Amino acid sequence: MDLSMTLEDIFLFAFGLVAVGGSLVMLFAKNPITVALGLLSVLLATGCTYGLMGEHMVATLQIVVYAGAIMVLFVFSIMLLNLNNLKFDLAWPRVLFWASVAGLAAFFALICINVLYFFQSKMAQHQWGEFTPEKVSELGGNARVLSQALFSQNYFSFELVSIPLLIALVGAVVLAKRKLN
Amino acid sequence: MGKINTVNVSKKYTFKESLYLVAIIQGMMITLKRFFEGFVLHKKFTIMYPEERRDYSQRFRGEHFISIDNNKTENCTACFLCETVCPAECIHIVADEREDDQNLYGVKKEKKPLSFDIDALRCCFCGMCEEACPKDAIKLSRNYEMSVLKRDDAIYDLDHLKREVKGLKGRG
Amino acid sequence: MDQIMWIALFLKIAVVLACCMGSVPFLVWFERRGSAWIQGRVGPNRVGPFGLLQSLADVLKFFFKEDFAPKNASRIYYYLAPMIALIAPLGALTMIPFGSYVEVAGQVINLQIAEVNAGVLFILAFAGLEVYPIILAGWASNNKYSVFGALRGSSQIVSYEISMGLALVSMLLAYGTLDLHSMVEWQSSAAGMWGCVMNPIGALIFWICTFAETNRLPFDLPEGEAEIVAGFHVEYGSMKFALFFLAEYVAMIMASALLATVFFGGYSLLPGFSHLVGWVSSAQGWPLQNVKAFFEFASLFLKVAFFMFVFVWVRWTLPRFRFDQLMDLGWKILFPLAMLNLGYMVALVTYLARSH
Repeated sequence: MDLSMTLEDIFLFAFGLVAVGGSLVMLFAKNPITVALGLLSVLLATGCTYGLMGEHMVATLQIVVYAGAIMVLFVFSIMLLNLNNLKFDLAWPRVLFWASVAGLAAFFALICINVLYFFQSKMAQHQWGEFTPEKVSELGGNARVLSQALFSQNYFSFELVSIPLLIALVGAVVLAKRKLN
Repeated sequence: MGKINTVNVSKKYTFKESLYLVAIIQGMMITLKRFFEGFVLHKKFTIMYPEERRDYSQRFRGEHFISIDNNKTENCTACFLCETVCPAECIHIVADEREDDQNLYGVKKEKKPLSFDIDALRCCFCGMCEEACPKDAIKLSRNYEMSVLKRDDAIYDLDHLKREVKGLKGRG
Repeated sequence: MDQIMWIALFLKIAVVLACCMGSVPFLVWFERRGSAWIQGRVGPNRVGPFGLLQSLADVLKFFFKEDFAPKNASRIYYYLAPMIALIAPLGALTMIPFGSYVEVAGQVINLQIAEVNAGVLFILAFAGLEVYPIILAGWASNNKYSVFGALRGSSQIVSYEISMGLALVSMLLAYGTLDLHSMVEWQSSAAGMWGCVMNPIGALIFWICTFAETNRLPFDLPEGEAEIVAGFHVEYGSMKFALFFLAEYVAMIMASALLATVFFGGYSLLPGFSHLVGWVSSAQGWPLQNVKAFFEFASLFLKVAFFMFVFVWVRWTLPRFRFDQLMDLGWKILFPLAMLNLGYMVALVTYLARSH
């Protein structure tokens, strides 16, 4: 048991490092493909972290939806549009630049303190929502609980979410057609 | 202008044809049959090349050579007929005078090739040099394995052309 | 007690890796020899008995080739692509159960590397990742042909994933679970039947989609030699190309194993094997369950071998599709058919649920 615990810890740290590194790459890289792949590594690392926590359902959904579908479209469109030639020249004054760096650092420190506090407090460890692991397994697994919640209680909001997608789709078609004419 | 009757052979597929699956399964069955013919019966249309060889015709035109007499002297008299007739312009001869002591066995050969180069990479193996030669000196052998490692090796010089060639029954 | 589980885990990984990677050279040999038999040729027969060591010679050749990279390639992605290509199908392979369970020292060991209850979704996730190596390889090698190959490959995989997913969903309706173990249990139980009997159209759609997902003929447009040289791996040589090559075969094995598990009874014993199990276990005095597990593994192996044979067989029978034909087939035929089939499965499952 001891071995598995340490292994899990090592993997958790590794995935955390990948996620943080990937997000930094995403923020600071100049090449659009690198940016997209940085985001992809963040998504994959979070997916792996979920998997490590035993939440296989969330992990798979994370990978299927984000890494498997959305990021493919991102990379695909970046490749098609050949955004390589774009140059982002942010002519910021030096003061503003350092101010923003300081602001970011302060924000990051705030998050760190927050996370540390929450992980140390006993409240975080014992606060469960309605669906505890025992209740989920009693109801028949993650997939069943998730789909029942999605397609019965929250069916209306689930359908409502599809409307923005529809709007985006119509908008994309309209934009594409206008360019043709 | 007369009217040209055209027939439109394209047709709409019937339902069975438009399923494609029937045709695909038929084709798969054919390849399955062929597979077992090859697998079980070892039926094959190719040969195991270096060990087995195809029997080419006696008139096959392959690598060039220059025939020699019993004294190992080439029969060529550097008459330039082959060079003239060659459509690929791959023969290059430099003529020279032949010494009297080389004219043995009563054969008078007053000229001899100083050098006789055939660029095998240009040659189209038409055999016209062979037809033109009055001395039956230049000939095409039945050898078809002419691969070389360097381009220079594909330009045959006199020493290479004067080699002894056997097995030319139908091409005397 | 826990140590046994760890050892078992490593043994399972070793067995799956050995069976998968070890069969690839044989498969490459079979691909070449089988094509020769189909076309009335002899095929590679000089290296080793029946030419079986030809793949080994090829690997040696790959090792000693120059590790060449184009000057203007994006180095990281260029080297990353073949690695992802191999990792994605290998990751998916960990979800496939290759037997029910064995009992060692009173411990029940499930014959599945990653015991995940949403196994099918995980496999879909890894199948989705198979797009990345193609995109990355095509884009990073800075070659127009490879970009064309990458575009073709990625759009093909993305389109066929939809029909594949729908065919899978229709089976999930019947099984009522995402766990591959319970799917096989369902199929081998007395009340159940093989998925392909219940849902033949779904099985066919899924089967066709596996060809597209693994970029095999008749859908090997990403590497259409006649038009785009070698597609996304034009610029890859030596071991990097070998990795792509290996990945293709691992992906084929994975797809065959998934097809066998979902539609063709997975590791459930082939007809006649159950008698064999009883006979062997009583004759040798070995525990019944372990003998059964071995024969279950053999059953899955034979099924996968059959599907691999079909992969080769189809490759040397059907010509390559044109790109618009490919998209027509994917979107205008397979997708509506998969939707209709889903409706049929809903009706069937409700009918079965009512009648019981």
